[in-house]
Amino acid sequence: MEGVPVAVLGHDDVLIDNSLTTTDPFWAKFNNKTISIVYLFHGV
Amino acid sequence: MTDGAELYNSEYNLWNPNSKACFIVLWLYSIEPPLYYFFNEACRLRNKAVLPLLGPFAAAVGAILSGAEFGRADTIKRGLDQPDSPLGCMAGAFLLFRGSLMPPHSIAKFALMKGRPLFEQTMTDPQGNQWGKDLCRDEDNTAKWEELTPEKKMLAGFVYLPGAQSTSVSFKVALEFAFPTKDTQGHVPTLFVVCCHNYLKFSGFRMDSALHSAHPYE
Repeated sequence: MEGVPVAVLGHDDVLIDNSLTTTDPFWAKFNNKTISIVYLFHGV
Repeated sequence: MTDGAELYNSEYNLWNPNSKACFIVLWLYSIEPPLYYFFNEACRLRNKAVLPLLGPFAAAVGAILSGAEFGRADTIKRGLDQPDSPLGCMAGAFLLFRGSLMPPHSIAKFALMKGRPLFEQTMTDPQGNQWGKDLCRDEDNTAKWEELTPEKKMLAGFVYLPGAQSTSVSFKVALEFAFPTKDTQGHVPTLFVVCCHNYLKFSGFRMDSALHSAHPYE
């Protein structure tokens, strides 16, 4: 086995709805997008 | 006769974060055209055809990632060196982020590994002792049955990330790489959140200076 070992702590699909909380164009472009979040743990 | 300090301070020492060898290898890794892409693709596919071309470079990157960070004056203090911290063994831990557009089947591989113990395959002998096989060594059927202790039962299974992964300390910078475009339809915007335990060490190098990267702000 090669590479960095990481444990998978969790996985979520998150729908971003920030239409009421931001006017920042950076965050606004993520509005109504679903993003998959993978939580990893790199031990040692 | 050359002493250890002279060897360590050599411009050719990849474990010395201030050596020219370390600077040039990491700089080449960070520039466009993307040498890092071909290097990581070769690692992921285990493409031996490019070994004569990229192998020495991969070995040099591997050496830097295995030890150069600990020679830095500003290295992130590891947990072992903070015995009195209220955070206990997590005292040296920090978060990293990586955004990318991933094919759905790759995400599914990670999702399948969620919460799996290291010794997933278990059996109980007639005496009532529990035995298990190390999940992560069992791909080539080399794992042997080991008697399970309460500590071993709690160990988490893990996946291997091949090649070298670039990550960012900035959530915002990482998220930008996950933004979907017209050319990447069918791929899922994905954010990897990596907790680095950093108790004894972490396998990596912070490319946060212009000496080590063409994009230190990332």
